[in-house]
Amino acid sequence: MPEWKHDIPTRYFATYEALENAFRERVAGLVPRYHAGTRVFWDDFQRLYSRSGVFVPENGEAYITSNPRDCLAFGTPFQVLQGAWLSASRPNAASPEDPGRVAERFGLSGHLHQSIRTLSGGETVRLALAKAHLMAGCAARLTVASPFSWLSLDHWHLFRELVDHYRSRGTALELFALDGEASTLAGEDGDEPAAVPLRFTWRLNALQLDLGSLIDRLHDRRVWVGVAPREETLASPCLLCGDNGQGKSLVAKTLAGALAYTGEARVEGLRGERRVRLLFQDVFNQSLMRSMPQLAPRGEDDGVAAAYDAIRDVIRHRAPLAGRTLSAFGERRHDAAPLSLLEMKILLTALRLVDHDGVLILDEPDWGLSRPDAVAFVAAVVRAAHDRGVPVILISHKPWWRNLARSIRRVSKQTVSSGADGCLFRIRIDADPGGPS
Amino acid sequence: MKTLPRLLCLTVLAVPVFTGLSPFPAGTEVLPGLPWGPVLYVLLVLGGVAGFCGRAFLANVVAVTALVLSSVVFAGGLVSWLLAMAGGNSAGVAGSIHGAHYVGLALNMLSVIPLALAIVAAIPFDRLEQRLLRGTRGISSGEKYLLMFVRVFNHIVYVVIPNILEVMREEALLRAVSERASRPAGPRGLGSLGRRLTAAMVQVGVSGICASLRFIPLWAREIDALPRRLSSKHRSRT
Repeated sequence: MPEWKHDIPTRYFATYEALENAFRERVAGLVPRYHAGTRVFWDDFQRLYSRSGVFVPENGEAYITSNPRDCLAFGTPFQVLQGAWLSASRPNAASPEDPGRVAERFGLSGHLHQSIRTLSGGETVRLALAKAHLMAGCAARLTVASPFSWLSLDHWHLFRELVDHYRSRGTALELFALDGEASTLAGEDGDEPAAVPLRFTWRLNALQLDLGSLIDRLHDRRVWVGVAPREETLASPCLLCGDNGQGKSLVAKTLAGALAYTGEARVEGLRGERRVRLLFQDVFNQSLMRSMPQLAPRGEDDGVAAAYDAIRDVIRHRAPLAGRTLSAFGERRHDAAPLSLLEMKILLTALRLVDHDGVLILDEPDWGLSRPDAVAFVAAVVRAAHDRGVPVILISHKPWWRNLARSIRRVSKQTVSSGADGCLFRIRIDADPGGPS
Repeated sequence: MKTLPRLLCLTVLAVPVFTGLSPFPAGTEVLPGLPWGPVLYVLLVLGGVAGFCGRAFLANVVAVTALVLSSVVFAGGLVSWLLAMAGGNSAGVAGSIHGAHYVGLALNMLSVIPLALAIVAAIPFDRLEQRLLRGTRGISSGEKYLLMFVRVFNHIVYVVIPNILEVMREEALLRAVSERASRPAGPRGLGSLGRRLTAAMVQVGVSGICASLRFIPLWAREIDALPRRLSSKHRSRT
């Protein structure tokens, strides 16, 4: 299987939950976790409380979390790097490299005083790598969670630089990855045509997103994103691709109405202009900690069970390992136990499909899933959606979906200006040179 | 408007409510037991918040105030009224016993909450955070506490609340509730709507609290790892 070539010690895991548990153990239980209920939260708190005082940060782990943004503890890149530099500095020892030089090396010089919440995905990845670079001065080991889910090929050389830096100091490092995560295979789904060919039209006109909060406006800071106009008819499933941080998720959130905007952002499928629904990349946030009975409190015969079981059956067929852990909807319906990431994705998708919405968008559908599970999940959703006349838009920087997609568009972002007083970006959506139109 | 003048104006506006002094004479009563003075002051405060922070900001803080009022003041008034009814009073008499007190309390909160929120929002916490880590010789323990506080505040304002709003918008939670509320419904339908709305608000609240707390151990570790400021120049950069 073609994949990123490396010789870094790597532990592979079948599920996101197993990987996160191992990672939490590795960095002494202090990484943020996605709480699936008050009970889980309380257990975490008790564990932390009983272990307080045990940690010895001076000899601790340097780490990058499975969402790199989670390991950045301060408000701006300057602070993150300065904090890492201070932590790594030791009296009577050589100081680590100057943070400014490290920022330059990782392409962050122009973003040092920009708020972290306005950094793109690519800038966030580079900042996490730069921080880990500085922490080499005091770390006993570096552990990186799920790197191939957030690293794009454009950032591979920076990652290699980080690895070489740790090796040159004789510091151990280890990767925790999901099964198949490092694969760069385009996908084996090219010969499996969509059950029903579907088309949809989108129209983006004079679109402008205001990402600032009310408090930003109070302090005369704005974060504006302008989107170049575009109108066309596309075949489903459509893949919106592009490197880390090019604005793919912003486009998806706008189409789904999750972001406030001015201008026009409309999608029209077979069923007319109905709502566009979005499955967030970070589906844990989307669940708002609700359990199965809270998320699906409808009647017994509302179609959710049929949609859920249809998706589950395809996954069981294509990814038997994950399929074995998936119960039928009827067995799970009244069970308030925390949902696994895969169960949550299936349930939220089923809820959207029974509403027969206009278009379904899956933002980074592979996030947190092993490659076999992700491929099975997407194939199942596309089939179930097309059976119901709902076109699908996939958003991903991975090549896994290129053979499955019937149309591909590339999203790219240009920074017009950025600084402490606000940012202005422009997003373009173009036909992908190598993909179907 | 610049930060400092805005902060000063809001602070001056807040002096009466936080000291218990009224800038207006009580005057005649608008409602039994409720004079004009406090009503005028509330109008002045809301006008001031709109003027210094913008109408959009005022709309949001009034919405937050309404949520607090509905749960604290009106629930308190209801309990008091039920207790008075249980004491053998008629509905009208029971209402008049503590009615003026609770209306006055509501007016007080209508000035306290918007002003407090406006003052907190007017403080540029993110710029403050950026100033705290400029030194190269470590930071003091006081700065560590401040850094932690500012970090949590900024995380709630700039990450937790926008994330929850995105989910609520995508799921059209508020639109579903308002559409349901606009339909004619009997007492049972209203009860069901109320229960659903309450459950949704509790869920959003609990989720928000957990999302706010989620990163605290991580930040605590990182901030704790920062070295204490040294008196000598041990940490000069090479």
